Order: sequence, then C-alpha cells, then structure tokens
Amino acid sequence: MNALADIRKLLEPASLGLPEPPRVVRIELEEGFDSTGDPALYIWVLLDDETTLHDEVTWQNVKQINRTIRDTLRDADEQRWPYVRFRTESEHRTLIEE
Amino acid sequence: MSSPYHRELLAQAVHLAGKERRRPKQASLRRAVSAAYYALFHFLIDEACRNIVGTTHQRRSLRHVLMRAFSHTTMKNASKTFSGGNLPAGLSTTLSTIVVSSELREVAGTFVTLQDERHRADYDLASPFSKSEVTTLIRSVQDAFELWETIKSDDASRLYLVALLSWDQLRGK
Repeated sequence: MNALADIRKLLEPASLGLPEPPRVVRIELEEGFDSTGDPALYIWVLLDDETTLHDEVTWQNVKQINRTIRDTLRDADEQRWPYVRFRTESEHRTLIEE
Repeated sequence: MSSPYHRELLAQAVHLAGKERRRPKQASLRRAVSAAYYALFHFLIDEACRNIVGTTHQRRSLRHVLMRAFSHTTMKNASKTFSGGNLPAGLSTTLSTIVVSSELREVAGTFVTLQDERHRADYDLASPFSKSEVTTLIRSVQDAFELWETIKSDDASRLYLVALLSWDQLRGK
C-alpha cells in the first residue's frame, strides 16, 4: 500500500500526459473502504467547467484518463481498488458547499 | 417485441440523469446510478445463464431460476480478479491458454465500479453525485455492452461468466 502523499505525486496531472479535451484541473484523493469492506482509493478527477461529456472525442479521452490513472497505480503496485470519479470543478465546489 | 430488460434499465438511467437540466435532483441522479448498475448486472447474468443453460426459448424458465442464484459479492470478487488480468495460480496453470483481454478487464472493472457506486447511490446520502459523474458511469455501462459483443466468444469471457456464479468455489482450484 502506497502512502497517500506518494500517490498524490504519481497522479499529478501535469506528469501523467493526459489527453485533452477535457482539461484536468486537478485530482483529489481520499482513502477509505468500499461497500464490501475492502480498502479503496477514491479519486476525484476535476475537469474544466467547459467540459461536455456528450462529445465523443471528450468521452474517448475521459476513458483514456481513467485508464492512465489505473495503469499508473497498478505500475506502482497499489493494491487498493481505484474508484475514479469525474466532476467539473464547479460541480465539485457546489456539492461541497451544499 | 419489447427490448431486453437491461436495455430498458439503461434507457431509464439515461432518462433520469437528464430529467432536470439545470439543477438535477439527487433522487434522479441516484436512481440513475442504480438503474445503470442493474442494467449491467442483469446483462451479465443473462449472458451467464445463456452460456450455462443455453439460449432456446424452452429453457427460459430454467434460465430465470438460475438467475436467482447469482450473488452481488461473488460477482464483484470475480470481476476484481478478471479486471486485474491475472487468474489465481491454480486456475492459470490448468487453463494456461486462457488470456484475459483488455476488453474483458474493462468490462469486469466497470462492474466493480458500478456496484460500489450503486451502494453509494442507495445508502450514502452524505456523498452527493454530480451530473458528470452519473453521465460517465452510464457511458461506461454502454461501452461495456459494446465491448462484450467483441469478446463474448473468447474462452476467458466464458470463464468469466461461469466465475460470476461460482467464483468462491473456482478461485481455490
């Protein structure tokens, strides 16, 4: 199991070579346990507010971002399941404030 | 002719996710996630039952009985393993020619993710959903349906279907 600080470094958007659109503004992490009690990593990928997920190019890139994050963690021998969640930055802010 | 149940569930998920355009209600988003998970759940157990029992109309009742035997936890555990791409040592020795494709890994991974998000949607009111999150989850189920069509005849995919029912017995063999 990697330390959260190390995972944060690994998942620094600028170093992941992620495709655009959408532009990844930042990635937030949380440790926890999933619904069956297994250790889990919850990964919030915060996207630029202009993101339109109904656009096919964007969707293909979102899938690639998801794969890149999973592969990066697998290469680091991270055993916890990564739950990758995509939100726009303003959605994230609104939901936290409510 | 009516559309398959899993397609109806996915259409319901899409409908609920887009129901309120400006300020989506949490109830709509949460029910959309739940419907998307059950779309994938019913799709996979239908495929598994057809694989095990057969596809003829005469065996429909038999398939429906078998469908009741699937457990969410067993399906998740099997999916976690297949998503990782490596089968347990005992199985991989016996089934040395079986290769878990990247497509199968993706389908299995989508199942694991959707199951947990369904649990969050139905029980964790402290963790709200955004429309983008729900849209990506629904799209991932749509993709899983499409990916499955390209791999469903593979030996690894057939093994996965059997594992969804009997992983607890199979994984130690």
